[in-house]
Parts: sequence; structure tokens; C-alpha cells
Amino acid sequence: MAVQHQEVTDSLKLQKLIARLREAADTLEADEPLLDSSKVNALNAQMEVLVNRLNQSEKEALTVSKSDYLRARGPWLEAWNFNAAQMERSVLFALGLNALPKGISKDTMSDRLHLLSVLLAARGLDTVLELSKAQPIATLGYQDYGIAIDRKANQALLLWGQMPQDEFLQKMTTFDEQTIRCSAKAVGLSGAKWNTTARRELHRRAVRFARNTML
Amino acid sequence: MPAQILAFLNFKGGVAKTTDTVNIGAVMALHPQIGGKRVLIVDLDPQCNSTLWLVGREVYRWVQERDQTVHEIFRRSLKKLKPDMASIIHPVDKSELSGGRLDLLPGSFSCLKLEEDPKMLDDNALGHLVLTKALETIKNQYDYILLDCPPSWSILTRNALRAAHHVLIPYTPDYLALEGILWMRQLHEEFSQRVGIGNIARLTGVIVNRVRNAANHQYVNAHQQAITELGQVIEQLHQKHGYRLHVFQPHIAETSAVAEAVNYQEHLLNKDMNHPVTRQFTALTQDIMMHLRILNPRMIEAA
Repeated sequence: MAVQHQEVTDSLKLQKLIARLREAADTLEADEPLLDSSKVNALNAQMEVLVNRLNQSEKEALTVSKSDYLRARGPWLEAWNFNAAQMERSVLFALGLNALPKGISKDTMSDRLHLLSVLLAARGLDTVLELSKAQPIATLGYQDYGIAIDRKANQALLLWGQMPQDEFLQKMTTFDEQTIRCSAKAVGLSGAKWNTTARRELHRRAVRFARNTML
Repeated sequence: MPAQILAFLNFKGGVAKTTDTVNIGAVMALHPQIGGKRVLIVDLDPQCNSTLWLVGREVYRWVQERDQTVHEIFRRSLKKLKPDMASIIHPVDKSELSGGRLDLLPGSFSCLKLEEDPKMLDDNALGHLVLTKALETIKNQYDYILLDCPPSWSILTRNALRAAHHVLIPYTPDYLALEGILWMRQLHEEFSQRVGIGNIARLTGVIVNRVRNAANHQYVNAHQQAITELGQVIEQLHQKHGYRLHVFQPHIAETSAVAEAVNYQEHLLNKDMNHPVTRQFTALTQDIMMHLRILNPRMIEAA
């Protein structure tokens, strides 16, 4: 009982440390251009202390350096915002897991940052940066409009949405596989098995896309 | 430095305009790390949802009886009198930690009758500059003024467009909300031609609300396509009409926590600061403030 209580207490302390580290990193990242140098130095010093305490507290001897964490954080979050499902698969593969641990979700920022810490400790900065680069092909618009826009997929959907279904089904065998995959993903289809039902569904969604987005 | 005035506007109802206005305002004012701003929320919607949410029914009835509301500004304007802003602005909350404060200019259902007065509708009488003139007297007392607008094209909406610097468009991932954005673009363009290009707020960005998580695959599919359609429409608005809209991040999840906060008449920061949706609103507010700084370099110099 005493051992369990100690483990729970240690776990809570660890969670608090992690939370404080994230808050300090958030503040530094968001406000660094606007803070004076003494405030920036204070935040950096605070983070140094927190990282050292974190490293001492972690029972499995995970070590994450502050510079690696800050270097990886931005691209990591951007990659998750862009394609959470892809990032989840990549992380599971990198960690040799079948599923995310219980209580960890791919949809919350705090859990994504927790996975960043775990992956940095397990596989290092280079692997994390590599994973964070993984993006679907021909995706544009994120820098321009704050939202990922796959122009190639959108153009295909516009074209397919104006075709009769019979024509689409007949011509689908001649379409580029990658375009089909990207377009299907854009309208929320996995496209794993392209049977007749799935193809009809893709066409139905393309019709909807064309109808809803024609200005 | 005078306040940045942001209008939260979409002609589609139920897209979380009030939720966004109240919670973004609260984060700007009261968040211990990124808050500290002086924020005024102006409830321009005759439904008075912002007012009811922030001050509750008793205070709401009290201010209605005394017309210590936004309606007072318009009523006095019709008599060619200046409004006494100090008497109608109500403090809601303040933070000793961040140094910020959140105030409210309550709404009034009496504003529904403004459309009946011909003086308000006459462009020559400049009925749509009433709010601009009123806010002129207090704009140096605040860092941000947030306008919770009604979901309709009315004298209040036109006042908001004349008074504000930026329009933020709350959006839920469905076709009707997308049409709301297109109507806004059209009406914005027509109004801009009427009063002079550059004399109304810029359509600046879109806030995506009520996104469902991965729990239900059917809904994930529907929302993914709606987001794709939003991207396509935004790109076309830029290419065909020159409107460059920015989609703010992160997208806000659909959650019962928001309804719970409403039921308790508290903003999310007070209700549950560590809830994932509160963190999303914090990150969203950061993104909005950073984007506004990019658009308005004077804000960086002043800070």
C-alpha cells in the first residue's frame, strides 16, 4: 500500500513537472519576440531546471534535452495538425506499439507533446524531425491560408463531380492511383478497398464537393 | 494604443459566435500566461447570449430595465446625444495574476426595433456609424474590443462592420455555414462599394468550431470533407475576389464542456482551465493575436 501510494505521488509530481515545462515552452514560443531579454533568460533558466528535475525523476531514465525539445516542438505540432492519423501510425511504428497507451489520445495537444517527449527519448531528434516532415504529396496552402489544401486532389474532385456516375466508374481504372488516394482522403474516405460500393461513394462525395464549392 | 476591434460574424446561426467571443475574450484578458489584456465584449445580438452567459439573468434583467445596454447608444444617437459609456459598461472579471480585465457592454432585445426607425436606415444620416463614434471615446481604455454580432444583415451588423478592424468568421463544418461565408463575402463587397472601400472591417479569418473527434467514423468522414470544402472555397475567394482569409488553428472540438460552462454562466477559463477545449481556445487565441500582430506591425512596436 505504501509503495503504491509512493508510486502515485511520484507519478503526479512527474505530471506536474511535465505540465510546467510545457507551459514555459508555450510562453517562450508564443511571446519570445515580445518579451525583454531578462524575461526570456528567466524562462530559459526555469526550463533548464525543470528538464533536469524531469530527467532525475523519470524512473526509466528517459533523457530529453531542452534544445532538442524546442527544436522539434514546432514541426511536430504542425505535422500532427496536418495529418494526425498519419502521425499516429508513424509514432506507433517508431515505438513498436500496436496502439497508443491507455489515456493517450492523438487529438489533444498535451498528449501529442507527451508522445514527442517519449519519442525524443527513445529515438532521438533526427527521427522525430524526419517523422515531422512526412506530408502528403502536392499539399499546398497551409502557409497561405492556415489550412492544408491539396490542389491536385481538389481539381480531380471538381472534375469527377461533374461526370455522370457511369462515366466516372468506367474511367476510374485509368486514373492515377495517388490522385485517387489523395482525393479519397480529402473527402474522408480511406479507399483501402476499391470495390464498386466504395467507388460509387467516392463519386457521390465528388459530386457533393463540386456542388458545394462552385462559386 | 487604441484597441483592435474584432467582429465575430456569420449569417448562419448556431456556429458558436458567442462561444468564440466569450472564451477568446476571457483568454485574452485572464489567462495567466498569455492574457493580461484589457478586453471589452460588446453584445450586439438582440438575443443577448453573451450578456446572459457572462452576467446571468438577474443582472441581465437589471440592465434591461434601466436600458444600460448597447441600445442606449443608439437611442441617444437618435436624439443627437452622446452616450455615457461609463454608465453602461459592466466589469465582468479581472485577474490579479495577469493584470487583465474583462468588461461587457450588455445587449438588448430592444435593438430589434432599431430597424423600424427610418433615421437609422438612412445612409446619409450615417446610422451605421453610431457604434464607431461611441467606441471612439473608449478605444484607448482597451486592448481588444470584441463585437458579438447577430446572424443577420441589420443595422447592428452594419455598425459592427464600420466600427471593427477585422471580421472573424466562426464556422462549423457543414454546407450551410459555408454558404454563410459566401453571403458574407457578397454583402461585404456590396457594403464596401456603398460606403467606400477601406471604410469597413477586413474579412480576416475563419474559426472552425464543433469538430468531432475520431470516436465516430461517420462524423469524422463528414467533417473531413467539410474542411476540404472550406479550403477550396477560401482559395477561390482569394483567387476570384481577392479576399484572403486565414483559417486559425487549432480547430475547436465538439464537447459538452462548452454547454456546461454556459449552464454555470462561466467562461471556460473559470470553469475548467485544464480541459482540452480550454487549451484549444488558449492556443486559438494565441494564433489570432499573433496573426493580428503580423497584419498590424504597430502592435509589435507598442508592446
